[in-house]
Order: sequence, then C-alpha cells, then structure tokens
Amino acid sequence: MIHLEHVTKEFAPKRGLFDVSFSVEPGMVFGFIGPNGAGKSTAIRQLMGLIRADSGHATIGGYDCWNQTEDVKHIVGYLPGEINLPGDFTGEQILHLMQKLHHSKPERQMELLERFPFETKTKIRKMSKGMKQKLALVGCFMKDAPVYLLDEPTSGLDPLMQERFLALIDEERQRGKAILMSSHHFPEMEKSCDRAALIKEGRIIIEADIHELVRSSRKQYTIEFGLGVHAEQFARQIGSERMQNQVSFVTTKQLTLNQVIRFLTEYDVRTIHSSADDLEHVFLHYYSEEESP
Amino acid sequence: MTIIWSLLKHNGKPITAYAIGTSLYLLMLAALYPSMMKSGLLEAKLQALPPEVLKAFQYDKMTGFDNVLDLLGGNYYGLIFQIIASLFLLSLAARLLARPIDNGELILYLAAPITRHQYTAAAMIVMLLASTCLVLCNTLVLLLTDWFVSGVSIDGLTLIRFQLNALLLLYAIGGFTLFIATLFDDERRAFSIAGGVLILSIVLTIGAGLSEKTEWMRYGSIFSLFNTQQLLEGTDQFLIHLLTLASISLIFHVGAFLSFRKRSLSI
Repeated sequence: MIHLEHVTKEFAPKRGLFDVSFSVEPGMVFGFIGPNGAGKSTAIRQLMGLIRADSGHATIGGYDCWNQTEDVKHIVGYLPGEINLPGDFTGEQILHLMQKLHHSKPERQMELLERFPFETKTKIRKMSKGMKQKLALVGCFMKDAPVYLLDEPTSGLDPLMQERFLALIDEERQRGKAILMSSHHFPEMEKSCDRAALIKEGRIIIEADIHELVRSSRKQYTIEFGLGVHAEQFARQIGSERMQNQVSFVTTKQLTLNQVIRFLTEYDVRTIHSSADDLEHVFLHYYSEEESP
Repeated sequence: MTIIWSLLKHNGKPITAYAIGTSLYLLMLAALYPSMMKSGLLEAKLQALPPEVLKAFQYDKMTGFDNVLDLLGGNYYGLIFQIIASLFLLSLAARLLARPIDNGELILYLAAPITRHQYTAAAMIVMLLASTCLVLCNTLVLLLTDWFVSGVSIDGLTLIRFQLNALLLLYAIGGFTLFIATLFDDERRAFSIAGGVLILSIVLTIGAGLSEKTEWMRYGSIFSLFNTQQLLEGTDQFLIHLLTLASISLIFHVGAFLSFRKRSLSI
C-alpha cells in the first residue's frame, strides 16, 4: 500500500533522506524510529507530496506521491508532528472544516470524541498541547482512510489517552488499514507495531519484524545488594564494577540472565531493576554501534 | 469553495478593518470639505506648504479645489492610499500564504485532497475579493456623501475612473505580494522583500515630486500607473494604465501558481 523505493532527498550532507526503501501493507503497523533530525518527518512529508525527491519513487495505493497528490490524499489520514492550527478557530470549527475538506462522516467524529474527549468550544490558542493532539487525532481518524501516516502520534497525551490510542491503532490494523507511524515512545511502538525501521542521518540502519528486533536486544539490569562485599564479589564474577552496593550489567550471549540468577542465589539481593524497555535497548544498541569507529 | 469561505472567515477582521477604516477617513474628508472651503482654511494651509511636498502628494495648485475629488486626489489618493494599499496587501499575503507556510498551519488544507493550485486559487480569490471590498466600500461612502451631504458634488465618471484605477492597482500589488509569499519558507523574509520593493516604489514616487530633474523616478514605481492629477484632469492614459496594471497582476498571479506548485514545503 505504502511504498518508498530508493528515495533520496538531500538538504545538506547527512541531512535529508538517502536511498530509503520500505513498504507497508494493509493490516500492518510500521514503526519508524530515530532520533530528532534523522529523517522520519522528511519521509512522511515525501509521502504527503510536500517534498519532491531528488531520486527514487514514493507511492501510496499505486498513486505517485508527488504527481498524483490529490488522489493520494483521498486515501490518507495524516497526523503531523507539530500541531499548528489557526489560533482564532475553536476545536469545533476546525473539526467542521476538516469534515468538509475530507468529506468525512459526523458519526465517526462523535465516536472519536468519546474516546478522546476535550472541550471543543475552546479556541486553539487557549488549548494545551494534549488538547491539540487529541483534536488532531480526531481530525485524522475521522476520515476513516485506508492509510494513516502518523508523525509522533502520542506526543503530549496522558497515559490513559495513550492506551486508548493504542487500542484504536489495534482496531484499525484489524480493519486492514496500512499504518506508518514515527515515535520516540518505545513501549507504544513495541505494543503496536508489526515491523519497524531504525533511521539515522537519513539512512535506514535496520528494518525487521518488531519481535525479531526485541529478541535480538541486549538488556541492562541493575542489582542492589544488602552488603557491599556481596556487590564486590558479584561484580568480579561477571567482570563488571560496583557503585556502592549496586552493580549494573548488560546481558550478552556469554552472560545470560539465567547464569546471573544462578550467581545471585548466593547473595543478599535487595532489588533488581531493568533499566529500559526492550525496543529502546535495540535502538541504543544500534546507535552506539554506528557511532563507534 | 470551502477553502475560500474558511480563508475569508480567518481573514475577515483585517479586511473589514481596512475597508471600514479607509471609508471612514474618506467620509470625514468629504463631510468636512464644504466647511473647509467656506472658511478658506484649506487654501491657506496649502499655500503654506512647499511645492515639493504638494507634488509628492500629487496636489496641483493650478487646478485648485473645484470639488471633493480634487481634495481626495491629493489628501488620500495621492500618497496615503498607496501606503495603505501596500500595508493591506502585504499583511494579507502574509496571512494567506507566507505565515501558514512558515508556521505549518497550511497543512490543515494540504492534508486534505486539495491540490496546491486549488489553495493558490483560493488565496488569490480572497485577495481579489478583499481588494474589491475595500474599493467598493470607499466608492459607496463617496456616493453617499455626494447624495446626502450638502455642498459636496462628485462627478460620477471621474469617481468610477478613480476607483477602477485604484482597484487594478490593488490587484497588481496583490499579485506581486502573493507571488513573493510563495517563494520563501520564512514569513519575515517574504514580508521584508515585498515590503522593500513597495517602500522603494513609494520613495521613488515622493522623489519624483521633489524637482523636475527627479521626475524620471516616477517611472520606476508601480504607483506611476495611478496618477491622480491625470485622472482629475481627464488627460490621462487611463486605459493604458489599466491594461498595464492588469498585465502585471496576471503575470504575478501566474508566477504565484507556478512557484507554489514546484517548491518543497517543510510543514
């Protein structure tokens, strides 16, 4: 449904997109992960026909994203990364305008407003970041389009709204929608995506099934011991260093979690803390690898 | 049609403010004209002003003030109108294109199944409607004073020529400001470049009035195509000016369509 083939758009050296290719099929949620300025939004703008590629080809539903932009936008619901709307309009006026522009159904809007409630009579300039995000989500999904392009969709949302968003994404996937979403929020990507691509300096470092990515991750743990001497002994066993009564380590093929648990039965352990989410580790792993000479 | 309504709604207040503001100023001048003429205050004031200043405002002492249009030709249409027209259209082009591109608001429209041509056409129509609204309000106020204020008489044909020329001038400046607004991502840059050109045009118009040696400067300015003295005397090149302004307007509007279609937008 969504296809990028060898797309290059260079703004400056290492700024833009370089030979980026990926596909998103109906019923698939594709995650686009990368630090700020990596090229995630540029790729999405390419698909929205806002930017013309130097080379390569971007299509949605068989339509060329630059030359057939009107056809593309008939089948796409878009959520921009930055929600900028005319400040004088109220939420209600914006939704009414979007409904007219996108030819969407009012029933769908009502249903979405129940999921993501906010005061629609408030003017945009008086709205908080979260309110604007909810307004943009309602505006995007009320189109009921076969394709969604979502740039940082949960930015500014509280945990309850994030959960509701994930439930909505799951429903849309089951209805056969093709969804491309970029995010820094790793737990939500882990929960919602089927495949993911990591992008850095405009190039895709890896693209794989999300579970495969997580399986290949190395996870960091911090153990707090009751006694300093135990921390010292354990640190020596695994070849690490202690920080007062704490020892941190990363699991590898040589140092598995099972092995560590066997060591720990000998000591007085107070807490075991896993420092970050799995996908975040995959991300950090690939990025640190890329940065090392 | 939805885009046009939405843009009109979003920009209705400044358009109305300019139309009402300029009309009230005209109403005030026209209403005060009989008493100013009776008291001789106007003639005395004009005698006190240096001829260069009068020329800059396109006053002509020789023709005097036979009717209210003579007064307006110098006091409003001579220079003030050009300044107001420049500010009005600069700010409108910024609100319709330069600012929405700069701050990303444009995505509200471009995320919908709308082509860039359709958005440019909507912005162009709003600018043309706004210009027409301003000129119509000004004309209506002058007609009302002609009908209801005693001592004021306005020659209908001269008024129509004045307003038609003013309208075409607004269309031409509007086309230019819209074209410049499509060229840049940065609102301030678009505003300063278009504003710079228009200020230069105003300076050339004023400079042209300073002496006979600087008379040539008038032809470097678009405002030379709206010569109030010639319009009042009826010895103008009225049709040539109208056609030239219409051509300038057309060229810049076509330029705006072409430029906006081709460029990448980081919104």
